[in-house]
Order: sequence, then C-alpha cells, then structure tokens
Amino acid sequence: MDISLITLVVTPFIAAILAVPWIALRIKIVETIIALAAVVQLGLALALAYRVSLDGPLFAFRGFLYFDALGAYFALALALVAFFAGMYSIGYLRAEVEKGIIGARRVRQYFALFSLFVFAMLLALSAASPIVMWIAIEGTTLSTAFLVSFYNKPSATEAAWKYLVLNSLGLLLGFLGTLLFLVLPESGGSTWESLKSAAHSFDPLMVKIAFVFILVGYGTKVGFIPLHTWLPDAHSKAPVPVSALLSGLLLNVALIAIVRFRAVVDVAVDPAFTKNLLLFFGVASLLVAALIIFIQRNYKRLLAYSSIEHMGILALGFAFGGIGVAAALLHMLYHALLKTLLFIASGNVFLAYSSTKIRLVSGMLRALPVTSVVFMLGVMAAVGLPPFGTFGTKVSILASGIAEYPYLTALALVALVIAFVGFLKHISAMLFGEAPEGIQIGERKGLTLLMPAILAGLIVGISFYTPEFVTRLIESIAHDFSISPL
Amino acid sequence: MTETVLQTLFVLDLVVFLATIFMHLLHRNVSLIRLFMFQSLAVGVLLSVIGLAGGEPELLAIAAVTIAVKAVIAPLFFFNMMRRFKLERTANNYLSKPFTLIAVAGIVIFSYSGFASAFAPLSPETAPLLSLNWAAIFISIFLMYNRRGAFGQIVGILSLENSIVAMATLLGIAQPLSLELGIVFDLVVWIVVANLFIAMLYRQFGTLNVTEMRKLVEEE
Repeated sequence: MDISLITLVVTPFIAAILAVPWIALRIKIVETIIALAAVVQLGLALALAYRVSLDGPLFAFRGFLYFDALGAYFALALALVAFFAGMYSIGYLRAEVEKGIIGARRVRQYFALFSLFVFAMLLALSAASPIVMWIAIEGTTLSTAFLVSFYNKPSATEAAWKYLVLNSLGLLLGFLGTLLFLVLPESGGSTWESLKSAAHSFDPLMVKIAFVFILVGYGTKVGFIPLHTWLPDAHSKAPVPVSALLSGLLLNVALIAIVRFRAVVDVAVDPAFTKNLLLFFGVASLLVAALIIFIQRNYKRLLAYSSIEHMGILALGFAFGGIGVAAALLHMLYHALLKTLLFIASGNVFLAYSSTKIRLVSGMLRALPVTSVVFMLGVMAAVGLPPFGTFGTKVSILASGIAEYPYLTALALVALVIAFVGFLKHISAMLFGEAPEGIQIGERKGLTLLMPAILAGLIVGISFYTPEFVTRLIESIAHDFSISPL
Repeated sequence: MTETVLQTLFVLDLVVFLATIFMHLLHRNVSLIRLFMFQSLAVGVLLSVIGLAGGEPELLAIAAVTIAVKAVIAPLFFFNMMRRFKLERTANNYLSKPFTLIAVAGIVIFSYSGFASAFAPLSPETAPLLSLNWAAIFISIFLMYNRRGAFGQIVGILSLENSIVAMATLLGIAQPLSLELGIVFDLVVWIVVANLFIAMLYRQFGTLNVTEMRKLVEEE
C-alpha cells in the first residue's frame, strides 16, 4: 500500500476536520494546520508527479486510488493552487476580521469548507472509478455552495442557489451518462482502465448518447457556453481565494472527467464525433466570453469570463489533437496558476477599494504598486502576451487546427484579440488615473502581498523553463489522450 | 423475470412517470412533497422487486436505504421547513397549465422515438419500460426549468434522481453497495444543504419565487 498517495488525498480532509467550528481550536492553530496541510500536499504532489513520470501509474487502497500521468499532473497543479490560495486565505481573512467583515467562527467555517473542497477535488482526480469521480465532483458542489454564500448577503445567497441548482442538474446528467457507460456490455467492472479496454465492443449509438449526457453534465461544471450561467455569479460572490480554486481547479477537474470519457468514446466511435462537439463548445465559449469581457463592468466577473474563454481554448486544443493536446495540457497548468494570481491580487484590490466595480477602481499603480504589477503580469499572461508561456500554448493550439479548420481557427483568433483589447481597456482604467478619495495608499504587508508576488515569479519562471518531469508527464498524457500521434 | 414481476415493474415505473407529470400541475407544497414521497416509495419498491426477482440481497439493502432517505428523511426535512416558514403554496410555473401539458406531451413523443430504444437491447425484458423512463427523466428536467419556486426546483432535482435510479435499475446497473452508499450519502448531504439554502433564501428575500430574486442583476 502506497502510504504517500493516501496521505496526499487524506491530508486536506484531516485539516477540514480540525478546522470545524465545533472543535473550536484557536484561530492561530487553525491557520497553522492549513499552512502545514498546504506544504505537505505540495511536497507529496511533487514527489508523486516525479514518480509517475518515471514509473507510470500508481495505485493505492486496493486500486481505489489511481494516479496516472493525467491525475498526477493535475494533482501537482491542484497542490500548487491550493498552497497559494490557502496561504493567501490566512492573510486575507485576517484582514477581513480586522475590518469587521467576518468573525472568528466564520474563519473556522471557511477553512473547514476550503479544505473539504480541496479533498473532494483530489479524490475526483485520483478516483479509479468514474462513479467515485462523480461522487467526489458532487462533493465539490456541496462543499463550495456555502463558500459562495460566505458573506451571507442576498446577492451571494442568490448566486450560491443558482450554483447549487444548475450544478446539481448538470451533475445528475453526468451521473446518467456515467451509468449509461457502465451498463454497456463488457464494460468490465467500473474503472477507467476497464472501460477503455472494453470500448472496442461498445455499441456506437449508445456510446454517443452517453457521451452527450457526459458533455452537457460535466460541461455545466466546466462552464462551457451556453451552460455557464452559474459561473460568473459564483466566481464574483465567493471570497477571492475560493474564486481562485473554482476557476483554476474546479473547472479543470470537470474538464478532465470529459477528457477521460472522451478517450473511451474515441475507441468506440469515429473520433470526429467528440471532436466536433468539443469544437462547438470551444468556439462558442471563446467567442461569447471574449465579447462579454469587452463590455464587462465588474473585475471579478471579468476574471470569471476569462476562465470561460480559457476553457474554450482548452476544448479547442483537445479537439484539434496532436500538438494541440500537449499545448492544452500545459495551458491548463498556466491557467490554473495565472487565474489564482489574478483572483488573489483582485482580493488586494477589493480590500483597498471595497468594490468590485471597474469604474470605482482607478489609480491602482499609486495606491497598490506591487499588487498592480502582479495584476498586470497576470493579465498579460491571461491574454497570452510573450514572453509568457500562454503565448506559446495559445499559438500551438491554433497552429494545430489551422490546416484542418482555417475559418474556425481564424474565428478563435478574432475572439482572442477581442479579449485582449477588452482586458487592455479595463486594466488601463484600473491602473492609471487618480485614486478615489478615502483610499488608503500603500500595500498591506504580510501574506496578502507575499503570495501574489511569489506566484507571479513562479509564472514567469515556468514560462521559460518547464521541469523535465512535467514534460515527461505531458508527453505521457498526450500519448494516452491524443487522437492523432504527436 | 416472470410476467407478474414485469407487470409489477410496469406499474411502479408508471407511478414514477405519472408523478413527474402531476408535479407540474400541483401548487401546494405539501402535495408536491407527498407526491415526491410516493414516487420515491415506488422507486424503492422497484429496487426491491428486482432484488427479490434476481436474488440480489444488495439491491434489497439499497432499496431500504433509498426508502429511508427519500421517502422518510427528506420529506421530514421539507415538512419541517414548510411549517417553520409557513410555505403553503409554491410559485407558479413559467408556462401555463395547457402549455405545460403540451410540452410534456412533446417530451413523451420524443421519448418514444428511436432515440429511446437505443438501449433496449441491453435489457430486452424491461425494454418497453425504458421509453417511459426517458420521459420521466426529461419531464423532471423540464420541471426544474418550468418552476419559479425554489421548492419546486428542489423537487425537480430529486425527481430527476428518482427517474435516473429507476432507469439504472431497469437496465440492470448495480454498483457495489459501498458505492451506492456513497451516492446516497451525497444525496443526504445535498438535501440538508438545499434545506439550509431554502431557509437562507426565505430569510433574505421573504419569498422562494426565484424570479423575485434580482440582487445579482442589480449589483452587476
């Protein structure tokens, strides 16, 4: 039994138990537990990714937990995001307690739910069975619903209700799709491996119907347009570190579920079927999100729509296949990190300006110089400017599709340009000009400043250098999940 | 399966299907919850019948848990909530009753088209019931979109879950007991969370009519 795999998955669960308000540990102790859990997760995820890149898939708990290259790769992204979001949360909640926005009990509630959310996502990534993955993803909805409504305002409760209802509906459709896969003859138990190996004998029509339910169901969680309506509301109402987890991780976890099922479907039917569906959702998400980014008035919603746009890019990468898959995988990591950076930096903006409306935020460069720089770096990475890695991944994704789908690729490029101009317009309005009266000039010291700064450095760093074990993992995943050879 | 078993399954499946239709027509919350109880009971009995007919004790255990959770615990939660906040009537549908029934008829026709028969070869004995199940699934989804009331939406989700479980059972999908318990655990947590949200919505908005919740639009 591989104890390190179990420890990786169980650590956030233990942290959640220790943070619950009924135990009533002192806030300092809860914060220490959260920080320790984040460090332990990160260390174990790094070790796991390295081992899987060398030795291939690892199992634990009688095959219940299963980390293949895709699981290990994304567990690393998850641990990184959870580390930065968790550490930032400590500083951010201290500031909110200081401002009298929340009390100590709410801090404990927050960390308990935050850790449960991380646990559910790790379980989803490591589940050998599609049903366990579904249970875990449903768990993410339940643990985050109260985080979305954390501030107890009517608008936050409304957003959380929308999130709960639409995601529950989506996930039930995903559940139906999963069950339809499992009923197929010779599906051989209920693991990803057994499904894939039996896929040759599946009835094509049944597989197609089942996959449509999977795509619509999990696609709701990914936030594909037109299934996205919960996403901007939930992202804009949740506390910023939670928005970072929602955007940087949760959407990707749901996308991974689709990618895993797609690998099964592509064996059973002509890969053009899944390809066309992904192309539709990819282009629709990219185009609509870009237009809304252009006219957006709220910077947290702006970031939420940017996530939809990035999910569109990822869908295109997976649809195009070949080098597009490898680029999409790398883009997933970049997006997870840059969106975490943008959300936590926007937390600093909110602490200073007490508003999420773009028109009420100006003169950031003077008021929050460090936050402004990291925010700007995050925006540059989000729109895919060089030298950021996202430039390379976006170009590679579009290049992989241009020969087969020139018009569609051109449309995607237009959408990227619109999003770029939109971001530029909004960020200029926020950075320059005079800061409104009453805004305290100067940054808060501590974790709220340190975490975005380190994360910005990391994003710049991995744009220039991708560790060898990460490259090995990506090659392995692209080999397993690409429909055409690299 | 014997003819008697098949006829029993047909009756139970018909109950699940008809319950989804009547859910569209009821306006009193108490009737809605009672109908959901009845539907859940039918699903639980359906699981038991297949468990007994196939000699599968695990299905009987799942049936017992299903009845306990959906036909007893969940309604208790809902009745308690209704008493606490005096929630007698649910908000109207978006579509009027005649249009709702026309839409339901359209869904039933679609469910009896070729699409629904795709899975028939997997379970030839219960194949005639599958279309009815597909109809129940789609009508439950429609219920969620057609209801203006948060309570109706919750019942729509739970009715969808019932319809999916009924279909899975008829198709012969049975997960190991541990996984089934995992699914039921999720459902229990979902019911608790949904109840807490109902309470929060009512306290903050003074209504459960989702069309009157406009705070997000106003704050944009």
